[in-house]
Amino acid sequence: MHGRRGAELLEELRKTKWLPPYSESGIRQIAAEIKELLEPFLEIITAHRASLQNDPRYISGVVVFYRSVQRNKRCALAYLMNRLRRIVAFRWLFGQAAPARLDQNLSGAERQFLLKYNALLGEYCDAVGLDLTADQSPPRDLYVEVRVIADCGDILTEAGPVALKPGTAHFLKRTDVEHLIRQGSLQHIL
Amino acid sequence: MEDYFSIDDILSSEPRIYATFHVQAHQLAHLDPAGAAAVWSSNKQSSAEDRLDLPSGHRLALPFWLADSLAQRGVAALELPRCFATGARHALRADARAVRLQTRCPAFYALGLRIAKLVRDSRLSEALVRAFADRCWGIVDSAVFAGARGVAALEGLEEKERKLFFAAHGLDIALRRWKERRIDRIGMAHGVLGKRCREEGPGSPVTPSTSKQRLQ
Repeated sequence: MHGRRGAELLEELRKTKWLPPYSESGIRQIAAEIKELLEPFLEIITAHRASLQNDPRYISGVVVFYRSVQRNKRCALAYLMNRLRRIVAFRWLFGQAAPARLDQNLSGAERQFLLKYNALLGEYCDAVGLDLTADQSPPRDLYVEVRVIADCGDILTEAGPVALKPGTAHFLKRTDVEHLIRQGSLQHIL
Repeated sequence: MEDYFSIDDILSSEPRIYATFHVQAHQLAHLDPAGAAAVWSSNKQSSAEDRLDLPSGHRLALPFWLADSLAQRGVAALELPRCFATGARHALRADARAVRLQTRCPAFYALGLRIAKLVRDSRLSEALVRAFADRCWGIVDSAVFAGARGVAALEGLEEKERKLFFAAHGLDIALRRWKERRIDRIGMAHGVLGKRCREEGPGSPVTPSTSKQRLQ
């Protein structure tokens, strides 16, 4: 049935909150279906131009093909758009580490988008002198106590470099480590 | 109001409903190849060109988005799906809470409202609103108080109701976290490469990731 493949793609995307791998073949199949549908559509339009207005027999044919093309287009665009929205959301969550974490599930164009979005956001944050992605909920304290779960190497704080080795606990400025906590490398202890 | 990019809006018009063509539909035999072939082979006068068409009066299941625009042009008549017919409405009126909507139609309200709009049936939309009003407190109740047994209650719920269930469940968790003064603890982002955050259940609005996705 027309448009089935597009609906399947969207169902797949809806099942998860994470970003599933980009389905190159799915988009290709939708594009192929659109091409396939356009052929009879154009054929009817050109062959029966005169009787198109008043003969319901042709109207039904044209409506079915035309609506199916529109439907396929809508499915494909919705798929791409919702993926972009998720990519942006993940950029705000993971901070600078987003490209590395999402990389294997992105398409080439999406990778480009994320790079440019990253640069744009970074530029804006520099211009206003504030990291917008930090402190998304109002903090109670400026400093937090964290336990290291995965090795993060050295990070640079105002007080100097700190080595984050697995198993150690640190008392650090919230803004310095917030994104590491969200990524799951550190654990916030209360 | 329909959102062009909304996955839910798109998928809620995917269920199939039965439509009957008033006319011989040009070049559409591929929608129901077996059915069309049966009709044409019994009709001796059909030409080869006819065989590509769908015969007039043919009944077949079409996705709602397609049937909808055909009905608006007046070339096909739609059948009210069984889950919105009189019998089902009686069941909803008798006790809406006992009806298992999920088995009847996964997008019950969304599809029902679309159909009601199409056939201009205000009684159907009223019945849907009343059914939802009867059911919604029971859903919130089981999401918040039933604990692990609440999951069993999920089975009979359709899509919108599931969303309500998870929203209520997430709010309950957020409230508990606030009571235990854990609210400003920075949680791990939900869905970090398949690792589940231990703090939050599914659909909790506490982490920025889930709250942002709910806004979409």
